[in-house]
Amino acid sequence: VGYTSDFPIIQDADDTLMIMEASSQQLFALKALLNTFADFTGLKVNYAKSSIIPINVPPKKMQHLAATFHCKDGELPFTYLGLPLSHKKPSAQDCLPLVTRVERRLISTLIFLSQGGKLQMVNSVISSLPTFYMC
Amino acid sequence: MSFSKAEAFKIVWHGPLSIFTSATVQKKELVILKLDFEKAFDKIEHEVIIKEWSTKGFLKNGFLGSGLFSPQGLLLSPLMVYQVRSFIAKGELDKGILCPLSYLFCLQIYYNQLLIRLRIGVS
Repeated sequence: VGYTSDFPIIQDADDTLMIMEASSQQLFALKALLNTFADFTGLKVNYAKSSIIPINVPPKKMQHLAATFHCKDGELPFTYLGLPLSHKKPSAQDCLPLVTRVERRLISTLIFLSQGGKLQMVNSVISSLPTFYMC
Repeated sequence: MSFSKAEAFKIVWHGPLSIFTSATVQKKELVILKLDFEKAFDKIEHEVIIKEWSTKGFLKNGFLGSGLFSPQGLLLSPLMVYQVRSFIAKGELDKGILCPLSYLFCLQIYYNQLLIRLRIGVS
């Protein structure tokens, strides 16, 4: 198993990303480590909700890797910390969740607000959503 | 010390984005594992953590922030070490209070174990 600084582990609260070489041997070793960690702390990995996302990996090899790790096959872009993460510029399709979120907030809250309240809502909340999304 | 959300995002996002870009350019075959920990904040048995920390010397004065913590660890920061120290100093560990910090610190232990094992080639 080879670790270099090119393949880090990124943790933010319970969102954990591990970037590693596409090798079934490494995945097998990692799974054994995770099981040991679960025995030690009681923190189990939910493999049904975990996913494995390929970068430059052929589909056939990817199926084999996903079967090795017993988790589902994901794809880029994926959501991390509430934002889509990808190596390419996000398309309009990728930004649709943002549009939906803004729409939902406008519909659910604005009918209860006065004119001043609406202005405050747009300035302080609605305009911040795209800024956060495109940071 | 204060927490800056924008700064935290910059740190968290800089790593994966630069790796994705270099992997795409160099045609490296990589996989990203997105792990979901089950009920992360309420599944830790506190007594076990304290026992393990004590056994490994984590609770001794001056041990936190020493060489055991890799500088590559994202969670390792002066703020983190300060928080853990003050948490222990308040005696909250002895009261059995489970907080997110325990979870983060536990992850840090796991991260270091993983690094050590990977470096010495244990599979």
